[in-house]
Amino acid sequence: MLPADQFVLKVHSRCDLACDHCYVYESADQSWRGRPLAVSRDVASRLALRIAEHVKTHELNRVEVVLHGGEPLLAGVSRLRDILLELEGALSGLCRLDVKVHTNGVGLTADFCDLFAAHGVSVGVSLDGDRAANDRHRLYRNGRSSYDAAVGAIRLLASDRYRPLYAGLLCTIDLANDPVTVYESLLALNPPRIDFLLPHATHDSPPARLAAAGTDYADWLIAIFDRWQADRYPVRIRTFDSITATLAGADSSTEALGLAPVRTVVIETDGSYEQADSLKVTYDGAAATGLDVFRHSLDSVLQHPGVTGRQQGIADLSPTCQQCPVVTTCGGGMYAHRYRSGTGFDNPSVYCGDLRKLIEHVRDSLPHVRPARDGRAGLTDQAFGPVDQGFSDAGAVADLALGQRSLQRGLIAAVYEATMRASAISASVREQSRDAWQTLATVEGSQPGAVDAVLRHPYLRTWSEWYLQGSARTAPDGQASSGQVVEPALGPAHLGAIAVTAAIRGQVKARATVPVLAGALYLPGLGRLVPAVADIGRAIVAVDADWVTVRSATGDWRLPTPGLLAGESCRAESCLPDRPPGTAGPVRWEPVRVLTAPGIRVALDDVDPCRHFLHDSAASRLSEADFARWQDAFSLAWREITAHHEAYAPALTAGLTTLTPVAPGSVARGRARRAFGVVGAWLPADPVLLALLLIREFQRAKLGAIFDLCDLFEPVERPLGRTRPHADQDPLERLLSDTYAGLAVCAFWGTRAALGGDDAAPARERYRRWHGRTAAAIGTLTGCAALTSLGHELIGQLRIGLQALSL
Amino acid sequence: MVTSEELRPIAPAAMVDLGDVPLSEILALGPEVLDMTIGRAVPGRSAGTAPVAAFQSAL
Repeated sequence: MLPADQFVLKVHSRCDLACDHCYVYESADQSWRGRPLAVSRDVASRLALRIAEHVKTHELNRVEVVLHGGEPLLAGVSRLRDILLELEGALSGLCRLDVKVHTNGVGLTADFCDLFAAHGVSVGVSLDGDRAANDRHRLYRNGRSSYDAAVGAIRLLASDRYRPLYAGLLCTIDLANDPVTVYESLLALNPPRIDFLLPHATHDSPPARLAAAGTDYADWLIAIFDRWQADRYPVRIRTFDSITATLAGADSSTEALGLAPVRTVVIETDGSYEQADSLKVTYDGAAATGLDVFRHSLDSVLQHPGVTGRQQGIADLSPTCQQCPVVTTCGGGMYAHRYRSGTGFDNPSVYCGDLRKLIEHVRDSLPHVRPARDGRAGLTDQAFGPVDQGFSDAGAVADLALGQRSLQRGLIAAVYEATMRASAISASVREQSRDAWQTLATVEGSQPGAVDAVLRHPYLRTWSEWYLQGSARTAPDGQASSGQVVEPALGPAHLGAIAVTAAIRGQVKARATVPVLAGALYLPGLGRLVPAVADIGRAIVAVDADWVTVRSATGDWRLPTPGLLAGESCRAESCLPDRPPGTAGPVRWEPVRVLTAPGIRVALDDVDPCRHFLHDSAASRLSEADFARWQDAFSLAWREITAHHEAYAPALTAGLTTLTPVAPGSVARGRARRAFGVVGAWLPADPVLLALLLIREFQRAKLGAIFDLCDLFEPVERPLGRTRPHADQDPLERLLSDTYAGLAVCAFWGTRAALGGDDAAPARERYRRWHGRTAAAIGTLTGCAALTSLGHELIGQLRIGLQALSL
Repeated sequence: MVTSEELRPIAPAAMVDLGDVPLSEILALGPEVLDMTIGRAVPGRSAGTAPVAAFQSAL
């Protein structure tokens, strides 16, 4: 039995409209006639207690309550407040409670919105399109149009004051309405989300069609999908989101699609538990369970055959559906739509042909969307085997890098989506972000490798996570900010810098607005332009095959594109008309320099502003002399690795992309996971220690990448090892990371001791110390109940690895 | 030689592979799908999203 996590509470059983397509009043089931008008406080109180009981029994983290009807606003502000207080009182401290209300909108006032704002209730509204479309069905009982009242409510919700409440618009499809006109009219009301609902129908009462055996409803929705895709997805549409989610291997967010078990219980105004109320369109009493909040727990409802019969996935479906190639997305469609007298629900949907056509159209329009098990973002056991022994071949690290590639693409898309939806972002920044995204997509169309190279830059992940997590910030100059997103610099405006960098790498003509931060213009992975072209916050950067032109309010400068790509330092040439072409200006380009050794190239990034989010004390730009010292030390360190610790070399060659100089003792421990491929290190006097730093810190990076893909432990209370608290990392994750790196440190000193050189004695002592420390940590982890089987497999292999070491 | 068919995927089935999805297609994926890819990196961001297989007559 799966617990319920969504509860639809009918707070009022009547409606102030008389929509002729309403499934509550115009269908086979007429039970509404015998229901109390409004839910009583007693029912609400008892339901709240039942939900609390259910939460405790099943240890739920979150539940959702939908206030519904009839028309829920007819319950009035006072009664709705009482209901909300009952729910909050019963569930406070037990779990997260999300409440939403769905309304026809005609009675929505500022008083209701103030109540909903005070209690965090989101509000959805039904609207079938423009006035002509809406007036086909959604009328008052006297035939009057409800359009103006509904749109007035929607505009109230969309206002700055109540915008956070606005959940979106639900539209019931009528083939008589032009789909694109309906889509445009709903879009004009600026909803965060829309859905288009197939009118409830069964095989006994099939839907109206334009042609007897057509797929009219699919065609209607496909017209909208194509327009939505051409518009580059300006609004979320739940049906399409659910189709793409299931194509990608995820679950549908609507009960109308997919194979995920239904976990919703409906509670009527008299406290009766019911199954999905859409069943009212099948036969009278179809949704009834005979159970109620006074006499029965929610577990009782979940044992009802009508509920259990919708929690078995594909096994619940008709044989026809089970054989269908789109079954994992369709899921048989809406349960009620399968009904036929005589055979019950053991049929395909009455919309079967429409669903298949729609799903296949979406699938064919998005050919690259597919589940991870068919792709390469995962980790195979062939790759994990070497990794969990502490070493890795290049193939294993390449697998980890593929996982990071998928992750980074998701992160940057999430940044873009968050920017487009955030009301706090200015319209100009949103416009610039849209242009930057389009530039990136265009460059990818002709030069996918260039976009790949930019998105691989490890600090992009740091920036993306920083932005998405929305927590208190430390500005790149080390000063704390107030907690708001820093606009325009390292906020979404950074997308412009990413787009320009991709265009430069791909040598594709493009232009974008790029932020100027602390006096410099940053191009991730390439370098920075300093001093400030202008301290105005932004510059327009244009790219072509020969020049990168930077335009600001106080001057235009240009840099040779081939020079930027070659990593050359250069002075920007002024483009001012009163200066001869080629005149160098005070503005100069500082490239990201590259450390090289036989078989390996690593960027030394001492300019990216995001490095400060990862490292407590990132060093400032190195002088050429300091860089030369780093190059010398790196060459010697790499020689040490390839000569004496060669087992670690393949992984470093494949995965170490960036080294960031930091102050001595300041290494990004807990945060290393946020930038795969980066090692923060200071320059020790002995290059052997630099070799150790590279090996040790890249071990952490590898394990961090594994954490991104696999569950090595369960997120529950767990014993800690001997680690210092670190706010940025889970304690068990930190212990695992320290232990994984510790094995490499132990092996390193064992090798140094065995070489018998001048440092043999101290190396032996360090070996013993690290051996003891690592063995103790492995012992702690072995007894940790929170580890998964994969976590135990890793610890087992580390134990074997440690036992294999000897002096 | 171990062929690709013999390799056992370790990544959980709930993960979504965006590695080969063009940026022009990624935005077709809703926030719930993006969260499945980035959820480990940005935990807690998905709090508040709709439950799975949710009641259709509300958003």
